[in-house]
Amino acid sequence: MATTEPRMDDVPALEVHAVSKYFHPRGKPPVVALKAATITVKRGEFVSLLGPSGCGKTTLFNMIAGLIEPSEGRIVIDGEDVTGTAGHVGYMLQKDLLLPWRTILKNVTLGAQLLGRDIRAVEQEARSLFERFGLKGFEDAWPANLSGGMRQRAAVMRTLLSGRDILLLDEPFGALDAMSRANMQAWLLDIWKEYERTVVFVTHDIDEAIFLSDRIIVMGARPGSVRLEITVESPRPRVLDDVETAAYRAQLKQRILSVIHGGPAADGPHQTTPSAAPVGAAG
Amino acid sequence: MTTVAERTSSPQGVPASQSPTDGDIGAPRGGWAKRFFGAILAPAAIIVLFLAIWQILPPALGVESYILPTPLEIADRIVQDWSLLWPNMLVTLNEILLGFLLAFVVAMILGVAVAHSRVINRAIYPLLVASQTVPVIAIAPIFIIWFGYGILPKVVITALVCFFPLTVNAVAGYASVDPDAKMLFKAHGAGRIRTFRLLSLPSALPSIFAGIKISVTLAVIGATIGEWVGSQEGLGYVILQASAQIITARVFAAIVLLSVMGIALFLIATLVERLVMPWRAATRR
Repeated sequence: MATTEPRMDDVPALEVHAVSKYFHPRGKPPVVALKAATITVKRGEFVSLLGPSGCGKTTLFNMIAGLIEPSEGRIVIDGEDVTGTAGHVGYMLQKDLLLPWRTILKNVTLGAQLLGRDIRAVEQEARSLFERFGLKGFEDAWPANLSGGMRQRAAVMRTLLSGRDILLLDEPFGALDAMSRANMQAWLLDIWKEYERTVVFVTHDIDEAIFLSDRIIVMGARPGSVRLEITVESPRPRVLDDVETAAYRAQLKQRILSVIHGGPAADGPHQTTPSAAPVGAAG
Repeated sequence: MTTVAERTSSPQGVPASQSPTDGDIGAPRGGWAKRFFGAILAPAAIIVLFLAIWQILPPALGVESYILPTPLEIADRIVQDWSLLWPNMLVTLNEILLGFLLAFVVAMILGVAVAHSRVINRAIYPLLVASQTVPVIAIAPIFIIWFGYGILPKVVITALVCFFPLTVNAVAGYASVDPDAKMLFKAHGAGRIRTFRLLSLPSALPSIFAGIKISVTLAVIGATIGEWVGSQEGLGYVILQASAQIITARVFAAIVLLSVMGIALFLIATLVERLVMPWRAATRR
């Protein structure tokens, strides 16, 4: 990819500095969607945001993408304060959002077109990617002629072709069935490695996060906040059914679950904490 | 929907033997012959049967020609009166096209305005609905008083009839834009004009065309009403004159031509729709 220039490695790709978001519904007390979140993502890292619904992960995502402005705090990309401004990241939602009136080629270049990249160069680049993305021969097909997995891969290509170093992926495989999902996860890791991008990945699937990530940021709800940062030590390339790391992964999962449930870090395999337990203490 | 088999599991993520011809893109489905029979032959047979009954039954029952002329008499009348019917048909067609065009321009501007501003939406929508509750036939004489006996009142009446379905469908089309797609555009730094051109307008097109197809057929009615209220030319005028003289076959001849115009306009609208939105025809299953 000709678009990512080499940068100083000591500057983090993304810094989220004490970012909070309050919503003020009319006639109701303000809602804290996210409280003082601080996250640093290194260049080339694969980081997952993991948490139940209402933990503010999508809110945080939208602030990183510049769709909404934080109430407090700053978003810094490549050392530059970009708080509240859009167009600095590649962004992908759970829905593939392929536009039915554009061919696949025109769809995968849409992000680049909107960002003002040279459309001819991007189209050429895109054509060379179709085989790698399992879409060869479908350059001029309409999105409706593609299967769910193919559409999702086209959406990933669109995100990649935005030419931005940071790719925000918001539950990109949430709508796929388990089989295609496992395939897509392995495939995404290949793509990530090959094109050397920084990925921030939102999911509520713990196994998915453990399988994919260098680091997992566990978030909790009410108020949405970062509860735990956990580094996944298992070496790459990873295999989904690796017996050797199974115990390690199970242990990670247990730790994450206990934090999500709002209790202190638990050791026992079946420990559950009462739902009335105070939140925000762990991590 | 049938799709090409998934092959994501292969190491490079490349489907081993995938090419467009492996898929079913562009391939005719359900049998060409079957579709031909369903879409053309069956309706044609019904029409022929209907015309045959009309041709045979009324004379057999002793119904006089000036009450109900047979299809062949009407066809004969169209040929004989062609020099009278043709210029009048052009007059009516002119009114239809101008009226539709006027309504279209206003409706598209209004549709965008209503879709993009809640204030305009609230202010204009009741007025829109109210304009439809007033019977066009009742206000048509007022337009004659205002605009005289020329082409203008007919154009205005036609526009009034076309205006509502065009506007309502345009507004519905703009309202149907996927909010997540808007987010995607915003996240990529797209401004309002680009978002409109590349997202909102294409999203609204199917709905806009639904409005166009409804209103071109209504336009025929609008122009005819306009001519009835006061005119010296047009097919509506021909109908009034011929019925006053009890030349019933000529009345029917004019009605047939009006109907043919309506059908032709509808078909043209459908054709344009297909040209403008090729993805819909290609993906309809």
